[in-house]
Amino acid sequence: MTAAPRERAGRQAPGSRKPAGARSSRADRGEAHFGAAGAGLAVGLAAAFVVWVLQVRLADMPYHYGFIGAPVLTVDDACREAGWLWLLCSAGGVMAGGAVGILAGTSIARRRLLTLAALASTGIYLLASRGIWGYEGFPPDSEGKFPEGKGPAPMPLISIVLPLALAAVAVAILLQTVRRESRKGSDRPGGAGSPANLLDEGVWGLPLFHLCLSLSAAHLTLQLPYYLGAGEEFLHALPDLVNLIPGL
Amino acid sequence: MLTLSLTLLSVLSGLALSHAVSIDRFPARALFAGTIASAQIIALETLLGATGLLTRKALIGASVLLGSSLLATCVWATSSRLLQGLRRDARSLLEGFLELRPPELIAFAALALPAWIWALAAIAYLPPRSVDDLAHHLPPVLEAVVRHRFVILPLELRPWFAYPLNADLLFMWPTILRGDLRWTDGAQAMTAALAAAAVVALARELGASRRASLCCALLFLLFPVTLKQATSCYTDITLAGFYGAAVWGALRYARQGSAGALLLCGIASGLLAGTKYHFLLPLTALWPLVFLGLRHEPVRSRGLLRIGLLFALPAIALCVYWYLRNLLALGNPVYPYGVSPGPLKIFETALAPTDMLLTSPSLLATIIKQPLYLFAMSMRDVGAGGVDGGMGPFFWGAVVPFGLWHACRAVWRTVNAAWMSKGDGDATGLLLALQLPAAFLPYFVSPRILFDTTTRYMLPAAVLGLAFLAPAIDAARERWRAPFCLAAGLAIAASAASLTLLAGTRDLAERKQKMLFGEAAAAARSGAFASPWRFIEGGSHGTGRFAFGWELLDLVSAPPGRPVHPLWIYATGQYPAGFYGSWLQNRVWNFEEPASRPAEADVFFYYLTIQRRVEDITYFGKPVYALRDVTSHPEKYDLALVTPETLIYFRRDVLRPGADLRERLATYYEKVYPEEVATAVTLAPLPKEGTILNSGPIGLGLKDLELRGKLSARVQLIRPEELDLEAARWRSSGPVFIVRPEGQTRPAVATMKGTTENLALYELSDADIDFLLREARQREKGEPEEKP
Repeated sequence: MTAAPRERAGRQAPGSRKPAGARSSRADRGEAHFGAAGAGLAVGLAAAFVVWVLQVRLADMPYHYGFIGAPVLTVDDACREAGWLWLLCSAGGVMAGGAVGILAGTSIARRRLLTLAALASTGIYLLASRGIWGYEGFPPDSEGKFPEGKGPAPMPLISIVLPLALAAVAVAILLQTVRRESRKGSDRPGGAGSPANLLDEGVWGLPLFHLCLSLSAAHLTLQLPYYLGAGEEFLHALPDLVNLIPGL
Repeated sequence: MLTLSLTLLSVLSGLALSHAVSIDRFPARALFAGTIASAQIIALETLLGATGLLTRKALIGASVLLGSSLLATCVWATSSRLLQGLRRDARSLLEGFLELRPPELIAFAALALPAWIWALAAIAYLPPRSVDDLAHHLPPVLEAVVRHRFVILPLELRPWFAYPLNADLLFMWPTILRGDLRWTDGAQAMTAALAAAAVVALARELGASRRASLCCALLFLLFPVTLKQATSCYTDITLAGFYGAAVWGALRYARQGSAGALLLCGIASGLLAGTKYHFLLPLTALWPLVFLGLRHEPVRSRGLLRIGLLFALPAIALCVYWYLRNLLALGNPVYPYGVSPGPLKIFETALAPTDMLLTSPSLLATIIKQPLYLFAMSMRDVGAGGVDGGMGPFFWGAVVPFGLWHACRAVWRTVNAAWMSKGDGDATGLLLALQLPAAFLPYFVSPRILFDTTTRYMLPAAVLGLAFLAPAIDAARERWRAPFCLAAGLAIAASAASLTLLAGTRDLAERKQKMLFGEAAAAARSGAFASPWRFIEGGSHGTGRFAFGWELLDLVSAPPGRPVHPLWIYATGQYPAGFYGSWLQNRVWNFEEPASRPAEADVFFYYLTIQRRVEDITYFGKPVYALRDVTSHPEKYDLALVTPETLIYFRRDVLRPGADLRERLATYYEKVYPEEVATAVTLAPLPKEGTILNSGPIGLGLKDLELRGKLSARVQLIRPEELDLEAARWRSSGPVFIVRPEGQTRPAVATMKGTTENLALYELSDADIDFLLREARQREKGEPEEKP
């Protein structure tokens, strides 16, 4: 079964505002175009995140430091660089994705494919797990030397392979699930005047969802080393807590 | 139990009032009840503190009277409706728990439960330990408890002592009712529940489902900063709760003209304005939303009267004391800040023109100049691991961008509607959306110099941002089920990973606090001879360096199982809270007016700071007893404890033979330093006269022998760098001995059997002392030292 007969039958394509084929005015076609552009933006953001997560410096870049003092500037600089890179990648992704979306908007099948890709590509944000292998430690001193006389270890191969595999599996599962759900159709939520409406709009909903995910995943990538670095103390204190529960 | 009962009475009366004023949903009623309970506590303490009647009995009586009369009035006003309503509330609460069945809620709840048990354990077993707790949140509160009235502590030490104290008075509640500090830092944990209720109430008001609202509330409760700060005496979580209540009240009044909501908004506004000056900005932004509610009033003048009575009056009543007090006592209601709109100077700032708080540009100015600075804030998640910050990746990634998008969209819609002349005249959405940027204002107007410590100011904005996010969560879940699951999974994973920050991190030990409570709990449960202050070693900003000193003061004045012997302490250092003792048994001599304190303190406490420099000692104003005044009179003052950062002197007359304090100090040495005492006991032969100088722990053992009358020679504790001066000082009164490991080239006068090595007393000859003095002089001049 192709997409067109289903849409003619009144089923709703994922990410579209109205059951496809229900309207055929010029305005609707324009809206559909923009809807596809929105899906394109979302795919662009997801692709940009892949580029960012593979480009951002994790092996020797401290993103967290607690003392007030000169080394904290190193950390601020590192964060600014990582943020700037995310901004550049995302801007590139948005432009490319938007263009692809506008082009794809001319055909229902392509539009549908793009929406499907936009939904499935949310799995890409599992690449944030690459942060597990990031550097957790003191920043270098003013001469660029890391403390304890040794530099941070380079990122192992698994830090690329495992996150990529995770993301690929997630994308595959999402693809399957979204296809299945789109066959079943889905309800539309939201009431007028509520912020829910924002995500109900075909044009901006998906890109905004991706933007939030991309930004959150970027933060998580950089903060994971720090969280995991604190794990030792945490696990050390955990038995105390378990012993205390009866006393409390 | 008394604290809990009285708190429950306040909450119950608040809940009854919420029914009386017809607040229609349970989350909103819970928010109402919590805010009213806080207001009752704060109002009573303010009233009693301002009139000098702040005693435990008066507070108990007044709170019982107020709570029960409010409850009785509500019962009378609502007759049988109240009981049904309360039953409905209990059912709603139960349903709320049953609502936790969806997988993402189960996961968040599974994380929140142990995390909050952890927080509870930290509150129960560790004393207040965060830097601002000890420096300026607690001292005014504790001083008010011991003096039964509010006093402005020396502003030379902290200009913040003149700050309004509304939220801080919640810490006073368990402190004054229990008479100790055990649950003092638990008040904020209670208000975290209030803030969570605010998230749910606001989200429900915006049309979100229970599921999404609870999800957002749990996210709030799992922010690293919420978890860490809930166990401290900071006030940002409390502010977030009050702010959420104020916004909910304003929104409901704007939408429905509900009198109860207006009252809540007024009360919460007063609580906020009486806590932090910075929140006058977002409160002002709330007024248009309040005045929008006038459209529900048939007669405008009646509406204005209603706003005056239900909003302005409670708001002013709950904060006016602090501003009036500052105006009368200090000539500036917003001390230490100035009020100078343009060229007009209404109130001069008390801060020096060179103060970095004035000279540093605001964060907003910094960001306008360097927009990428935003990434330094968010990606570093400034303050994570401590009480100052740590909002978590989803705050920066989802709450902030979505909230701001929502605000921009509301503006765009209103402008668009006005342009197209098709507006329906309802500006509620716009005014509400604009509250988010307004809620960020306290953060963005703070000076850049405070960049590292002010992330927490964003917690009130987080309450609003999460409420905005909740309906979008519903939409995303319904529309994109599988991608939503992935997003929820990421949020859960991020929250789980960030839980590790609860314990503190090795690289942040200096700046952040550690929360390891195993030893503290074991000591508390076994009834060991210990003070909780011993366990603040992981305190931030070096506050842990006070631990040994405060432990001594605590154990000498209130040893376990013995009557309290209050001490008057001449205190120095920037963290006065610990001097009062775990049971608030001690008094800070230099906080009292000369007429109400004894002529001289019993104990003199000098904190040499992390740098361990005498020049860095912080006196509270003009020093009454500079360190040199005390050290130059060894016949009057006896050094009882020396650590690298602290020196504690006792007046010799309070340690005279037979004195109670002499016996207590000896007991302290024996219980806290048993190994050193065991080593000192083996000293043989005992020197009959002279002075033993020592700067190490073994000196404490020898001091014990002296106090117990087993050693006739004088034991003088000294700082290692003052050996020369002390030796010179004491040589006129007999032989001078020092303790060194056995086996030096010269013969020992006496020996001791240590646990790892044998120690011996060696007598310093005149030549040795001259050599030491010469060496010290050369050191001062920077000349090369002689070889010994």
